[in-house]
Amino acid sequence: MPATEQQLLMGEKVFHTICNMLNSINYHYDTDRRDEDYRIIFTVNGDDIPMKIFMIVRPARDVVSLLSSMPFQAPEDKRVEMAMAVAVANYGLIEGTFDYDINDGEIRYRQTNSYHESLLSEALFEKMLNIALHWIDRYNDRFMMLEKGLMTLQQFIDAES
Amino acid sequence: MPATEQQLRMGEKVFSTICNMLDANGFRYETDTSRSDPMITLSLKSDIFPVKVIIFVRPERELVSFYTPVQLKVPEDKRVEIALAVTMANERLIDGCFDYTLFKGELRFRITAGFIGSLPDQEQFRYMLGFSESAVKRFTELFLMLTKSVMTLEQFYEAIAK
Repeated sequence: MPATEQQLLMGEKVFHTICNMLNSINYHYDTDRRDEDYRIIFTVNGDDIPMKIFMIVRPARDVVSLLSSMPFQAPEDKRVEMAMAVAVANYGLIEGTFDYDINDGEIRYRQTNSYHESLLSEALFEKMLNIALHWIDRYNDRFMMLEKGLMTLQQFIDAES
Repeated sequence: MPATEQQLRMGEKVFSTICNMLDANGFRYETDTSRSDPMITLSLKSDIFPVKVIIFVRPERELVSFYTPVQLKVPEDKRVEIALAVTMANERLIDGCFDYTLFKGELRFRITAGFIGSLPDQEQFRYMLGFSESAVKRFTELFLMLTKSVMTLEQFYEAIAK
């Protein structure tokens, strides 16, 4: 269902709030628009692996999604193991989740904040970003070590406790 | 780190907004405000299975979390299969996710919203409650069928892809 006029206006406000937040912390980003959705794209250098971040404002649903795919895919012989690792990682998260496509082995972090009839602050989006970066940075190297056979599932589980 | 005075006041406002939303929609609920993260519990009517929702307002994190346990205990011989099904289910969701513990075979749906520097409207929490209910109702029966071997993983995937 397409967004209403009010949702489009709200989406535009939310988009500007996120851009203002990124400007205030001196992040460089690109933007584009896909149908009604606003997309903001930037890369953050973590402790080890660079993190490409998409923040998508979806007016028709009144939500902002932060998405970041891991720059590797689990090979076929590791896909079941990786699904279990993703489940273990997700259970420890308070916000956000790792989505996993069993068909191609892609792992993607997703964090959503809805804004139904609510005006959200720059501070909220900055915190949303910081939390996402924290979890992605914490898990991307563990997932990669599992993918490369440098860590076993049991070691992944042990690292959680 | 404990909540600041301002975070506690904001948490109280958010807690009241959620209670007002529940009152306005005729829900019965219980509260526990003795905790550092005040809690609201309620049960939703369902023809198929009970749906219990537990809401935490976390002032120190400026976060509201809705947890909906899935009324299902996965037997040990099905835990890997359900782990795969959970990843398939989560991939279809635009908001929230199913958390799954491999060791206990327990599932819950989780959806959160931050409130730092923002006072969410009642509509925000009505959305979170409705989303939790529909996600749990949509997937619980499918998880159950998988657990009881009435459905294969391939059939599960086809069913959620519709």
